[in-house]
Amino acid sequence: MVENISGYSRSKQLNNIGFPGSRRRSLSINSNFMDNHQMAEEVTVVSLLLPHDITNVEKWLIAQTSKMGCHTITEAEKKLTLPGDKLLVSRSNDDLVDGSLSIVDTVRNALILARCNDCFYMPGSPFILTRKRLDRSLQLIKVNIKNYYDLD
Amino acid sequence: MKWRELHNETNTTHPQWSECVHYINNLPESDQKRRNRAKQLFLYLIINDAMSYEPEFIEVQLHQLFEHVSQLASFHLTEEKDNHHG
Repeated sequence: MVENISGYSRSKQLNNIGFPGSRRRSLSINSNFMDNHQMAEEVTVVSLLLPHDITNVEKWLIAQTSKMGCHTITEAEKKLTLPGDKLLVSRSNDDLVDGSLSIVDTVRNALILARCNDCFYMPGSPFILTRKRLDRSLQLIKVNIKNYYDLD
Repeated sequence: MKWRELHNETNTTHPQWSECVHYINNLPESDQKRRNRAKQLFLYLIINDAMSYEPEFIEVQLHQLFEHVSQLASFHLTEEKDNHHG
């Protein structure tokens, strides 16, 4: 069989590419600017492990809120104390063991995670109830503005 | 971070990261926070394959932005203090 040498080829064989061969190098990096305690006033880890069999996250959360005596998510939000400041979000390496949280903590964490995008926790923002948002482990960082900007 | 090295080379570093390290080392040693900020941004850009400009250009822009926001934050804090005392 003749190889297609002019353009796209499905062959996994590396043909003569016109210059000395090279190898791929990779380096894992873990760097967090907020590791420094001077920069972060407060760091809290919020995580949730959603059961695998859930198809409707909103229904599941409402079922959880009803276990703590609330009929709606808004009612549960009023009952719980969610952070009132805008916080920085960073991925956490802490894994959560299934079933290790109480109902109140599960609902609280779910509501916080539903308000976190990839960068921030925004108080007052709408709850986005998707598996991608809730099934995470995040660090919520309160930045020490004075130290961060070297203010007196 | 990922890069390619020729078969006859060993112990190479990411070419863009080498430029960044050289630039960071030339920043004033007294300004450790500025060095850390630059390092963090450079790493982010290299890992996300978004390092489109020279390290110096990027870092100078970042530093100017930082100084500007710092002035705004300072102004905001002073105003808050004044309101509190008033």
